[in-house]
Amino acid sequence: MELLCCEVDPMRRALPDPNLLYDDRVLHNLLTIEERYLPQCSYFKCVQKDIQPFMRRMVATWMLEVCEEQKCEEEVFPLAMNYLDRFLAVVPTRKCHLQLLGAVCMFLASKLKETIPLTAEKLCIYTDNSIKPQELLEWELVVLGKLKWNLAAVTPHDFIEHILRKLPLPKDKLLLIRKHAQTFIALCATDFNFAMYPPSMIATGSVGAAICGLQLDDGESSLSGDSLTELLAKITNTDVDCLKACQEQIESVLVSNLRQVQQQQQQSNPSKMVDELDQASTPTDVRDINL
Amino acid sequence: MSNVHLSSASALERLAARRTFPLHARTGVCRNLFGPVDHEELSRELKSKLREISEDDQRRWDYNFQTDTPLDGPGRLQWEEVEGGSVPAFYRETLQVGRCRFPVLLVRSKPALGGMDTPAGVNPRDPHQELVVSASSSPSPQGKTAALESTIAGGKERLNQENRSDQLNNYSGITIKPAPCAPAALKRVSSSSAAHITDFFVKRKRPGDSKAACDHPGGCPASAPAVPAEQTPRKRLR
Repeated sequence: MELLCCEVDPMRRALPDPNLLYDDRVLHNLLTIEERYLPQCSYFKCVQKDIQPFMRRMVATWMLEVCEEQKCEEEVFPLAMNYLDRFLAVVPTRKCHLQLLGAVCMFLASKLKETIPLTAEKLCIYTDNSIKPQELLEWELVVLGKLKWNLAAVTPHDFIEHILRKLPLPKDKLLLIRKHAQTFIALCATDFNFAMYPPSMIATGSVGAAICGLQLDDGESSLSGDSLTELLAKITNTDVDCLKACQEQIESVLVSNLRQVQQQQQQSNPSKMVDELDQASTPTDVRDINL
Repeated sequence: MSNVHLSSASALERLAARRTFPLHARTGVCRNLFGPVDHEELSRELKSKLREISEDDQRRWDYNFQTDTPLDGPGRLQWEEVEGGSVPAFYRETLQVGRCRFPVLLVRSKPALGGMDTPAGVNPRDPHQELVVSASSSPSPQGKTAALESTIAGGKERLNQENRSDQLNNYSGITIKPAPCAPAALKRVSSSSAAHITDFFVKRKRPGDSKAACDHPGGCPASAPAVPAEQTPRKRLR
């Protein structure tokens, strides 16, 4: 007997909705509301006593690895980092509770964005069982309460399609540009320097960096250097100089990240396990980008 | 024997990642970042955070969510008891049995006038509807819409009146006394032992405080907490 299981991809996705993507009101509304979801202050200076910037980087790197290993939707990680930053901007937190907070933020972001969300049990395993599922669920309420249940935050991903469709890009390169831009967004989310930037600026800078990195400016003059920056700045209504600075900052973060990876690879003996770890600590595809 | 064929490769990949994750196979990602967690301390911290949140909520809404009663004092908001049957269906208590929802008809000390004919709370497509409200005939969609519209219009009118009265009060300098709603509410609680937040609705904001409330969405204008509540931040870098 032949059994054909015609099960389609369990990840059911909505098709891109032209009513949402080809209407500038959507973009304008996103630009209007995005700043409501930024963390209130640079919390290392004014709120946190126990937590240092390098600890945020540690927990962010771990969260990115979990999201990648679990093949989460691209938005989950930046959204979880948004929750984490907003929580830390209002609640002094001890460093031994930081990983729990990271897990809770992934739990919430995954539930909001995915058809099959991450489970509490799985997330606890990823903390090496240092927290219990029950604790994760209890702290979920605390995070929700402190964020005033405002979970539908605007992320840089919300802007990507709006930006891409307004650029004269070769169709065959679109997929690659989108992928690189998403990688840059993830990279920005791991770096606290970008935490206070509006998502639209990070999105615009990431698309700019992706296009420059892929050297698509050969044929199309509007895709080269300054004219690209001006075009991008117009789309999201960003100041040209700020955008330029942001894009340069993104590129320099990429360079320092690549250097770090190279150093780690040189230092460590090239056993397979360590190599896998190294790869995990940098977003996928970052190394493929040709600067 | 049967050959089962999964149509999509990416489906398999996802299933592998999500469902059949070998829980004991530790990858490098499973790690404890900041040392052991003191579970007792964590639980104390949890309780204090939950208390903070509940106090914030109480201040924000002038409502005690534990006892389900409005606060006595002359707060920012005043609560007024309304008949359960007079609110839109959306706010009414329902009971879920399996996949169906039924409206809950509370037995009250006072016979509810609108209590018996509340068909708006029933899903017209609900096959079990007749089992619950057998006396009621299913309303036509037009009737339902009209009822809803009238509710909305009534609400708006009420709001306008309130705004007007607030303005009048501003000019005349009359301070609005808190409505004597709390005793009534308490009485009702003791009689039916099931008060719901929807049994009360905000009557009006006091004009003097409304501005402060706008400045502090957290709703704690008087006693500023050590750490500011989440607020809309200023535009940056533009």
